[in-house]
Amino acid sequence: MKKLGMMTLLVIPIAIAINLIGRQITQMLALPIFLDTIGTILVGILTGPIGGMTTGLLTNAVRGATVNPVSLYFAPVSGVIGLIAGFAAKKGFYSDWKKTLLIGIILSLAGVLVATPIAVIAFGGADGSGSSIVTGFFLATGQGIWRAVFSAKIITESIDKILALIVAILIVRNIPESTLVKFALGNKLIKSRR
Amino acid sequence: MGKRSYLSNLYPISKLIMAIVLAIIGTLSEGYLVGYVVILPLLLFLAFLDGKLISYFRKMYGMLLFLIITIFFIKALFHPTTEVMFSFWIINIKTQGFYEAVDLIAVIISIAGSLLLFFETTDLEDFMIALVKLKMPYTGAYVFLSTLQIIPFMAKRSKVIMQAQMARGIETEGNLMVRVKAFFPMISPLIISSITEIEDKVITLESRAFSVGRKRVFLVEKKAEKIDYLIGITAMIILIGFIIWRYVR
Repeated sequence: MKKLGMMTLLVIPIAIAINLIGRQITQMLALPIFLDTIGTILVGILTGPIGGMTTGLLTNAVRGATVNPVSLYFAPVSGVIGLIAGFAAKKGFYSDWKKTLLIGIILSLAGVLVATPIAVIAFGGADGSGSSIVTGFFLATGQGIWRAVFSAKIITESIDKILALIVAILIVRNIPESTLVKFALGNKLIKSRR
Repeated sequence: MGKRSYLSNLYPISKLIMAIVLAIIGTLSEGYLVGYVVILPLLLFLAFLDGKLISYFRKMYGMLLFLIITIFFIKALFHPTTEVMFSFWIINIKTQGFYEAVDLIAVIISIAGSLLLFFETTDLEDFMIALVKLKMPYTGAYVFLSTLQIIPFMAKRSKVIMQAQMARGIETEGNLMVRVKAFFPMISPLIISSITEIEDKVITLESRAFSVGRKRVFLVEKKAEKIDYLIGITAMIILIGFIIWRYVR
């Protein structure tokens, strides 16, 4: 039991690094998305909701402490994403592609529902990224600030989260069984392979 | 540690209290004056005392520039009110939106600026040890600190993987689809090789009694001195005084 705990503990730093490096690689390849939740979702799938949530929160804490304190504001968003990805794994939702797609949609919706109030209250709807231009476009069509921010975010977020989820699942499929079995949800994942 | 960096030598928890008090005062005070006239100069002055003015300013600039641009973009241009402060061509700056943006940025400077100064002048290892002494679980501190160590290591490894993939002829330039397809072969070897290594780390850590639940001692640790207690308590008194002045009076 203790060893499983240690595996969770040691996969979290790697996952956080993946979150940060994933973003670097997307920048290197000049992609218009972030893909900075792959590690969070991965830990959720491997170890369950608590591990996923911890990974999400700590990712933003590390980024806040080393790069930019503004990312501390958005820590709850990453936390919720890890939590949901973990719950879905516990309930065995990743067994077929339809359910997986559903989880992808739920992840993006939850992410946006948490991020919108933070962006509106703390930053007046802006977040320093390109999606603010889309927000401005929706405002210009006469929508209120809440709806404008929500609509702008849901477009970018759903692509980002569904892609991150797909990448995370593909990676889990490629992890050797001898390693997989040592994680908390490893047995479940191996069974679903057969 | 020279005499110059005295803010860096403060006990992390006292400094954190100070930063939080500054952030709260900046957030709760009426109007934007406190943020721009008191807190921003104070933060810059403290950074200057620590000899970190340039790097602090640069980080603050990087953090706030796009945020400020987008806040003005959304608030001043698209505010639902009709009163226009000035306009040229098709751009109308709305009066109320402009003032709201100025207010908001004062709050952001107070909160994010104080936290940035805290992290800029604090050794994260000292901060974690201080938190562990305040009963934070040691495993949390370990995860945080090992992440900081692992990131440069993994960034280096990701470059090696990228070069290996390029050597076998992967396309990294071209249209969007080509670049999206290049992402997976770069990230997956990185993750899988790192995850298969975890087991060795578990054995190493356990051989050093990582999971033992006893009180830990540290080889090098920062002690809170009188001045640190004094600063922490003074900051809290200032906060209480401020709240009374602001709300009870």
